[in-house]
Amino acid sequence: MIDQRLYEQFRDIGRDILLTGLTSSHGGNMSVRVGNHCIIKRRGAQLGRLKPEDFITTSIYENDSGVTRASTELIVHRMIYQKTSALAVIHSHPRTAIALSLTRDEIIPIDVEGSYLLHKIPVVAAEFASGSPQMAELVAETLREYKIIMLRGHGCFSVGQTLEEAFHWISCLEEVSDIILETHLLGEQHLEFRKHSEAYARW
Amino acid sequence: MHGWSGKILDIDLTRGTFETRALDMDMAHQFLGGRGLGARLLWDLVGPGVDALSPENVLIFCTGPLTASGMQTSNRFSVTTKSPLTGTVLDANSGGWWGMQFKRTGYDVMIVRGRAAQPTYLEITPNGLQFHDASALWGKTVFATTDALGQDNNRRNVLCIGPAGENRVRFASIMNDRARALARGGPGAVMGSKNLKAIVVEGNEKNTAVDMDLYKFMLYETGKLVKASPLTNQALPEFGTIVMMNVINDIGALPTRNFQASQFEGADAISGETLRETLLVGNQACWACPISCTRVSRTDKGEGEGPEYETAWAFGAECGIDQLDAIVEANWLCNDLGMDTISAGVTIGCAMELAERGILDSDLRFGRADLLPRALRHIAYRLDLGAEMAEGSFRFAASHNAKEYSMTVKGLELPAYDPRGMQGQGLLFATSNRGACHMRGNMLGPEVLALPRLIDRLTAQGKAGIVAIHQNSAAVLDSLVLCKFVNLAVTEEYFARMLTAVCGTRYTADDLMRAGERVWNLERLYNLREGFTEVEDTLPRRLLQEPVRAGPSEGYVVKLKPMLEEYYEFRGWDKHGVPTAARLKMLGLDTLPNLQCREEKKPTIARHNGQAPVLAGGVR
Amino acid sequence: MARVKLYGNLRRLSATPHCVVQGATVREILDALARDNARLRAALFHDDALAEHIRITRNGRDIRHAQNLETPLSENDELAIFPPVAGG
Repeated sequence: MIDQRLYEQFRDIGRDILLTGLTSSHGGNMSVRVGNHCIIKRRGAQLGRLKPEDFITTSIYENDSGVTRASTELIVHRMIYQKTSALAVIHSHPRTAIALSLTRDEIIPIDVEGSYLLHKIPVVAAEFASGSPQMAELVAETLREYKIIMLRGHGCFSVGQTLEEAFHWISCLEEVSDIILETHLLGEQHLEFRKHSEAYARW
Repeated sequence: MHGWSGKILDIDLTRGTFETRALDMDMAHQFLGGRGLGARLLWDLVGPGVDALSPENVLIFCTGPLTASGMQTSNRFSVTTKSPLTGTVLDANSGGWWGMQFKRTGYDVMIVRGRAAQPTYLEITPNGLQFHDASALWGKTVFATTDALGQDNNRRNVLCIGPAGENRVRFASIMNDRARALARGGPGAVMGSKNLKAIVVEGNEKNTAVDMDLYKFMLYETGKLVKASPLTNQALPEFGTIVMMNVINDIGALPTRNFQASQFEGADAISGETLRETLLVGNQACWACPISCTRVSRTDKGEGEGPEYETAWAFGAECGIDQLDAIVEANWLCNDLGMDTISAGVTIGCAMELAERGILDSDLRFGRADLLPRALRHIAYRLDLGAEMAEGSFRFAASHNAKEYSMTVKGLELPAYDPRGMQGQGLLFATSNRGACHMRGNMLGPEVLALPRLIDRLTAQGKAGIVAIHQNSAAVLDSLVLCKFVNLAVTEEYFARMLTAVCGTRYTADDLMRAGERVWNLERLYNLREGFTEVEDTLPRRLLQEPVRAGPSEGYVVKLKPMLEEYYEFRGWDKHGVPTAARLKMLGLDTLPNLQCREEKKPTIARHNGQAPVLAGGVR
Repeated sequence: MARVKLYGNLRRLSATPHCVVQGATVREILDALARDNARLRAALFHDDALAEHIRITRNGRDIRHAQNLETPLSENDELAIFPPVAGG
């Protein structure tokens, strides 16, 4: 059983992720780092309806939770904690961002808030896009440089010092993606107003 | 040059010679500059058993790869040495213009070794380095020396010691550009022991970016962030750091009368708000800084820079003094004499408590603002009681069998936060490598100001990770060398990209945090080699055993032991606070010279300069 | 009821930066303070929520540890209100 305050953070943020359409009912996962362990949502639990017993604790160096297949992406979370100074990781399936990830190698915000907070979101691709060591390595390496990244056709991984921070990046990413999509659908001329906007691709 | 010029100016005062040496670029990439590079060089140059005030100690002035680049706050530099106050590795950093100008002479680092036969000052100009006789300057105060040597902010910059440094006061500072300070730990005493009065610099080279497009983009982005943050754009320019007085008093963490209480009835009288309404006449910025946090104050005795929060506290609440003009003037005097205001104030506060308890024969009492100038002069010139106080509060109190009234960790006086009201800050003070220091990872942000997010200052659990990460982050800033205040608006991801643009080598935010951790561990190894152990990772007994008597933090002591255990584990150290071989390997420190690192075994430190090996964990 | 103290640049926005105000919760106190003072209201509130970076303590404890604006108050409580500040 995890600390009550920590559980409430998981529960509230998990609910917000579901209700804002950033994942399907049983998709996505979240974890935090405590010392050299991580606490992660167990496989099969619903992100939007988390209970105190829905969590697994395991070392970040190996799965010593005693639960095989404790979480689909456990290996990715562990690798991120090994390679970066993240204290929280969230993985979800924001649909517009996923759509964009299928047609480009990086998502570059065109709106003010998005470019200020995220600048650029790289898209990485892995053949076995779910829970393989290669994918974990790729994702963790990229997260050393960016707060949030897209795994092509699959979803996003975001990191922060707290769950709330990691959630913030995901929420922002989907807003960024929706704006890109809707501007495209408008089919009208895009009026660029930001100074140095061409440089965002260099972030 | 792009980031690093690759050149070290190596000066031998004993022989009166100098040479230009190459900077090991691997070392530069690993340790960046400033504090990190200084620590790495000190590891090689000054070993255990070296007396900090002997010719065998060195002063290493370091710039960083961003110094003089034009990025916001890229004016700072540091000095590294072994501290005569604590015996630990010491670095102190300072702002103003000197660091920028020194970088413009085309060097990254200046090493000063030995001892000059007579008072000397150095002058570095485009014509080269000259040794000058400083006999006529010896005895002059800091302001007089600075003026005499032709200080001209953007063109010609003076770094010097005052009488305190000349008289080897153990907490003497090195001052630059008149009133900027390499303050803590006594680097001024080291400089005085070398008979070195001043270093004047004039340069004309530039530190330009390899990738100018990326540099301009990053400069624009960081500029936007600094403008957008109310902390850097409004709070600091309008009030300066002294605005903290009421903030910290309100939560019951303002150390009062030598940490006997944690609220001061005179706090508002010496606050930033009161300064603004009475003595403040303006503010001032260092080179390339849009924040402008320095105060300029005026009393009927004159006008000058300051005071900062720490100074106003040290001569204020710490000494039970609520007269702002006396504090402002004490700050000027202390700068002119060349001493660390924090250590000076806390040493005087210690003397006040000893006198009130009848342990010390002196007329010093809490609240006696009128006695501050005399106390400061007596310390700087080692007169009467000042001669004892000049040794720092720890040696001073110990000589009266009253160690428990010296509010120090590893010999360095505590700054303006009562850790009984900020538990994480207590862990920070106990574990900082140069002694009790708030600048090496200030928990003020998370525990009080909700930056980035508020954590409970009164709980001891779960603090270790945040403290360690803040310590690593501060080490990054101290090594790049940038001002902590730019970090209020700009995060590591920006520093990494700015560094990439300037030096042409790719850095990620994570690379920087890793470098910070590397620097932290190296400093730890240095102290272990000096013979420090987990025993010294502690706090004054008062803070561990005497609960706060009144106010919002009433009833609290610092619950250090559980925090320390969690901290050692988080850092990847063993139960005695010694870095494990695995952690050192991860940081690339396993290949340090004179360090043997075998898997599954505790690292051992081989003979250094002929001295016997010293290992932490209680083995001497 | 609470004794209210304004700090930093908030002091200049009120003729009475130290005053006694009636109210059962922090929100009620702030509403009372800002009632006839548009500049103070603008500094304290962003839409209906407390402006970012404004810190409020009740007897020295940050109200974020209690119920934020809904924190109930007792007689003789002291509320301190700080604008964004930083230091070292």
